[in-house]
Amino acid sequence: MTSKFSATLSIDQNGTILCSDCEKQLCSREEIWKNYAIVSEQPMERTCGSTYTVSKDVLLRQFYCPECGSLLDSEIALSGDPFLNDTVRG
Amino acid sequence: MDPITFSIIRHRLFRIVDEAVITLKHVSGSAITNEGHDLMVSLYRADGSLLMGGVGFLHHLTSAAEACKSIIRNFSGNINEGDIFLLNCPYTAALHTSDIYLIAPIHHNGVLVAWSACFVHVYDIGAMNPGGFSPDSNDIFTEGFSSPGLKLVDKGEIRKDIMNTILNMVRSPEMVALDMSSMIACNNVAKDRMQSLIDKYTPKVVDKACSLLISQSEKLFKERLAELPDGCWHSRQYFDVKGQTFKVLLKMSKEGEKIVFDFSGSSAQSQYGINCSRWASWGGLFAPLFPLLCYDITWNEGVIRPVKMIAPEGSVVNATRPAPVSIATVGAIQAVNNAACVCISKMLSASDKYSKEATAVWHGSHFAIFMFGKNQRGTQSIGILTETFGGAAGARAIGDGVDVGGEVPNPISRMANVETMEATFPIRYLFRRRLKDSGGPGLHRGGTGAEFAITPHDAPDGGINYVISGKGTEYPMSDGLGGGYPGAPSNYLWVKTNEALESGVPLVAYPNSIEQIPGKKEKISWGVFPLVGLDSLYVGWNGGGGYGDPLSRDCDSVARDVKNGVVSNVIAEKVYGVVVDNGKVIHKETNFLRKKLKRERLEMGKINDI
Repeated sequence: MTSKFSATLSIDQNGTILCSDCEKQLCSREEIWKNYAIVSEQPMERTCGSTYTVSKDVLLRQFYCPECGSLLDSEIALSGDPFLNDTVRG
Repeated sequence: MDPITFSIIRHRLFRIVDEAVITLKHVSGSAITNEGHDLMVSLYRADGSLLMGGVGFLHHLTSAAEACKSIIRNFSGNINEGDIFLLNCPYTAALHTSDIYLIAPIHHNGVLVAWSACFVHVYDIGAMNPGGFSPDSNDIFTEGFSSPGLKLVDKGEIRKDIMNTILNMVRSPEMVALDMSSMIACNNVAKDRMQSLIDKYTPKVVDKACSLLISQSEKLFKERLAELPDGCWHSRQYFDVKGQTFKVLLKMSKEGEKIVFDFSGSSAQSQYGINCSRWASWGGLFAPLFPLLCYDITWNEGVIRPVKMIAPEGSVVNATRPAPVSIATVGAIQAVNNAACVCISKMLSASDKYSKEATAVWHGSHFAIFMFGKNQRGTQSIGILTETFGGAAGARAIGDGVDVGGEVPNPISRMANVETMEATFPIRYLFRRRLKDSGGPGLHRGGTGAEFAITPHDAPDGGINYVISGKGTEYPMSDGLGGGYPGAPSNYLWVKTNEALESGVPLVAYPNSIEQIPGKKEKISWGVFPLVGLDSLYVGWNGGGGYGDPLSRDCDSVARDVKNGVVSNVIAEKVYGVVVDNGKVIHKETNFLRKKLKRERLEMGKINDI
């Protein structure tokens, strides 16, 4: 039995955050799940094509499930920006 | 109270606002009001609290409440039947000087029972730059006429000394006079219909119904908040002005029946007019809150009570006088809109019951381009290119965003036909269409923005000028949700065909893309520019954010997008992992490509490598 943590993540009865696609356990809800995801940072234009011609400093930061590779979250960031860490207390 | 009577009065209040909006539009002659729907009408209680929020730009609903309260404080003992007050000071309650509030007390048998308030973006307000958005202004003093409150109509009589003084300070006074007339008429209709309602049901019954309506909204909103999960959600908006970068940071905390929006960490206020005042940020966060959390709850004071805001003084979201704010509505306020939309949608996404209501950001960055100069009839024209109200819908949890599908803060916005704009200004459109690859990729694609180019046509002075206060060119502002990509940023180009022709480049008679227009293409975003001779202005506006993983998008939907010209083959393959040929999915290659892209994801990054 799980409930939603975000659009792409679930949380089970023990408070463990899971990938909603493959149910890979990432961490407990007290921890920052993004620290347990695969992270990629790439310049926006390289990722999205010529309509995304923006400052070279602008990065598309993406978080993937380390098990199935599903895209779990995306952020626009400058290099060194902290992760946007959301918490759900239920 | 009898529930049927309560329901009838509630619906009558809706209709009063609707009828007042219709009046406003019928009397106003400007495209920004009639086509762009840059307007708002709402009803307020006798103490100035919001009673019935109307449609139009929703960030005005709470600001106009503050305007009513300010008038009540400052005109105590001098508020009479038939009066109408004007207020447009951003440091009192308004959003920027060109959005003028006209506020009318509503009396019944001599007793103040309610207020109606409305705004339109007037043709001009006498700022340094025509049209109200004033990129050359570095303080409030150069942003045009600004009043913390004055009596424009005294017991039913327009004060000509006041009106003439205002009209003496603005460009196109005849159009500003029409704007003012439209708002006076709007308030008169609201007052008349409200008085009829009270005549029919008695002051006591209507007052009771209004009080109940606010209590009902508060109760329903608190119940909804209690149903949603507790937690903290974050968002971050960047925007650029003349090489400088500003950010709006938001931490939204929800616990039980309370919700707090904390903008600590946002940039210090700017020397440019992208700042906004505290009341503007307050209104800005409600613009997505009303439709996303209260779509079935009456928008009034009851919704406002459980909400708190922290906005650091001296920041772009709570600027201190005399910081310039003329571009607030498309600057910091819009960033506040976007950030609040993201946080609210993340909270909705964490709810099993409400996750389907979540949405990526719609139309994250307005482009406010005001044309000004002599038109084809030999008179002066000032006005906005209304395409900015066309917008682009963000993808939602339940489906794609609508192409050129508007924006969250203004549910009734739209853009004018090409012919309307060509009749208003001495210009010709070379093309106007949806912009390929502008919708943020995702399981559900963000709606596309669009692109167009204009060139002078039949211009007595050989052309026209324009004011542009664009941002969102260096940073996408339509954030995606649930992994969805952001919508593409905006792009503004001055195409210098005059120079090209002088150096022998052949003219293209009917160019239908930016690539076909000859001439150097100079990126612009801020200031005043000429559009003369054969030069062109090209605008590509931002798309809506995407929702979810683009590798999970239905392959046939990607093929349809490619066939319809809104997604390129390059992005179909690179981002969606779908190979399309002649409008059809090549399944074998698609399966191979999607597996390869998933594998690359697992290989490309490492946990905690940043």
